[in-house]
Amino acid sequence: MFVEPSASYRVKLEHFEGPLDLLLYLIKKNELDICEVSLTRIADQYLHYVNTMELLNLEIAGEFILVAATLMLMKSRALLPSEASDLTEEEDDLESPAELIRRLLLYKKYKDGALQLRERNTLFDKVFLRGSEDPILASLKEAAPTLELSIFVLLEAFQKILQKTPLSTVHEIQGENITLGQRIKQIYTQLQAAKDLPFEALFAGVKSRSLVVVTFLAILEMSRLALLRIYQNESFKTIHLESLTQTQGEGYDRVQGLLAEEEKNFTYGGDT
Amino acid sequence: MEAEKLEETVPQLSGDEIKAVVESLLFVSDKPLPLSAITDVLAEVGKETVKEALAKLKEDYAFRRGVMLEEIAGGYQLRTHPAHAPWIKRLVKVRPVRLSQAALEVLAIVAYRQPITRAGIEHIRGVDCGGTLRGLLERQLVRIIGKVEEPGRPILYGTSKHFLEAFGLKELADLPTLKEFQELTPEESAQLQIIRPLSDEEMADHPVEGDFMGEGE
Repeated sequence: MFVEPSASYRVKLEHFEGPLDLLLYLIKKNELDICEVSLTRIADQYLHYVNTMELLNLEIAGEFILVAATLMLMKSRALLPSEASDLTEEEDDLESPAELIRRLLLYKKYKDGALQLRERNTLFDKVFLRGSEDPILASLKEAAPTLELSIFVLLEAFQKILQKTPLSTVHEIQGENITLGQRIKQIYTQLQAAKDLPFEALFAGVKSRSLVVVTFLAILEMSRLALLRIYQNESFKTIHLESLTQTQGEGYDRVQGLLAEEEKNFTYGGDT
Repeated sequence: MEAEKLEETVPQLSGDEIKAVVESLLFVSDKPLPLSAITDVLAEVGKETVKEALAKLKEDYAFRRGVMLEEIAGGYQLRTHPAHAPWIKRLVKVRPVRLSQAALEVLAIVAYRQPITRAGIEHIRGVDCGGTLRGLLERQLVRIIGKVEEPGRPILYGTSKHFLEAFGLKELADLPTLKEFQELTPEESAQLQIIRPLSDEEMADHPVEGDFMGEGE
């Protein structure tokens, strides 16, 4: 599924999780062990996510495609009578199934390491010092990450909403086109009033798929601009969006700036 | 003991007084205070006495107190009790230091595998880490510790002293050991590089202090 670059808005996710992350997420979700057989079982699910990312025109790394190819290879191998072929085993890339599993296990180990770091009593979050201001943090302009769950959890929620939305209702109405900036402004206003909203609430009454896509992109972009925080109190529970702008003016300027820039550059053109 | 010899020439400090002086020194420092800094100040008493005082102080703080005495980044520091975080956050408006999942993963890889190049990190994560790594450098959790003597001279990254402070670690060897996988056959696990805490010698090779470019070894 390709979108004309001129007619699209590319949401850049700077700290994006990789293909190994997606695989581990699917393995966990399906309660599988990491081994060749179970990987082939989630191959279709993996491709579904990659398709969703393409639909959203997210910047996906080439590695995602490479892993997709490897999964397909593994799947086809599982279907065909095995013929000993050691050719692929030597490649030190994600292209060989054996290497993919090895890398997955290695990655899992450090992912667990990251979890251990997260659980520590971190400074200025769990423990504090006299004075309690981190000079390094104070000097940084960059805000704390506002996406507090895996992008794949969010994509899954998006897939569910997309499934509920009819593929195409008669003809796409021209007047319904709305730019990303305009949608951001709507969500911003909605969130200003409510402060905290469940993810699904923003899709209530949304009937066209293009509007679902624009809404989702708007949420991602707002997270990047630190206009909202995306969080989940517990895994597999409701995803929440919380307004991060206390005063009316602060965030409004950012939204207006976005709209002005958008007018100069691009419009989001309807269905993909 | 050596301490007793010294005590003849300086005003006498009782054990409780030494403990109190150590406490006041810890109170005024905004960085973890190394043992050597305390013994320098308390030159009149011996190292062992200071250590004893620190141990007693730690005990005093261990029960039903708002602050704790902790060993951080090769020094001693008074820190608030983790259980009190909710109230502290009501009082002081600090920006949360939460790192994104990606940032934590890169940090974990750097912490356990240092010195490591960007390519080395990306090999493990299977995805570009440039932006994430830059963020960690800005936050001074990761620092450049040298360059590989090979074509392109890739930069080697390691964790900083600030990393130890941020995560409440005494030293790198204090990092929890990572579990290996049960499902692996011995053959397979032999293939994987096993993670272990760095030995003292390796620690000496890659000191966590200093600012930049630990070049020329």
